Amino acid sequence: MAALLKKNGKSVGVLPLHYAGSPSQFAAVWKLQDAGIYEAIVYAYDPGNGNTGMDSVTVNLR
Amino acid sequence: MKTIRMFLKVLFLVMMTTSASAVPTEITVHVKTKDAKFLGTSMGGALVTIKDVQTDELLAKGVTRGGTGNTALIMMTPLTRGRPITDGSAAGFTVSIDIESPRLIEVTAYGPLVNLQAANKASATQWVVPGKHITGGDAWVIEIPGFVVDVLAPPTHVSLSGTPQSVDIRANVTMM
Repeated sequence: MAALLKKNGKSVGVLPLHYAGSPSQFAAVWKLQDAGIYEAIVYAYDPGNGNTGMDSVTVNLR
Repeated sequence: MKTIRMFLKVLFLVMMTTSASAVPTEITVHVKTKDAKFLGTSMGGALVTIKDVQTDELLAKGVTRGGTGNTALIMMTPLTRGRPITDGSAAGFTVSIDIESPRLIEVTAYGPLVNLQAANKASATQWVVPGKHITGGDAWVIEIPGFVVDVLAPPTHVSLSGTPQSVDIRANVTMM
């Protein structure tokens, strides 16, 4: 479970998400330094069976 | 004129014979999610389309309805040949199609319809013979892979002013 991070369309890193204390919920703190359009592509992957899933969100930092 | 009349008579007879020999054939489709249970009403179901592979004719379409199935049967009982994992609690889509000769049928499933970012599509083909229903045992099972991932925070396209910023990312992950 991790988020692939982009800034202005370019990859800038991977942020692991950890169990957030409630069933099925995962969380992390995303630190944004400079102004730009940020995107987090959050994905889940189970290496035991190959299952995957994803969702994404954008943040406009001015 | 006489020839045309005769041709029309023959054509009419052929059409009558053809339509009279079409046999209702039932197909039940269950959509199972990979390593999980059946896709039914609680997830909006899966869109099922039934087509003739050779002509691309759409024969039927509908949405799976019903429950996610019997957990003990699906997940806790060792599989043995011929033992179904479906019972009355497993969601499905049942339809009767009228066919007059064996048709190569493609069943496609797309879902879950309530979480479109998690929706996947899978299909399979099989010969269907007139009157030979595909309803016994587990009938026709299509497997769809995937998790449902929902980003709960931050909200979509949030705008923030001032740098730097710390943003909490929170996501909900479930089997389908």
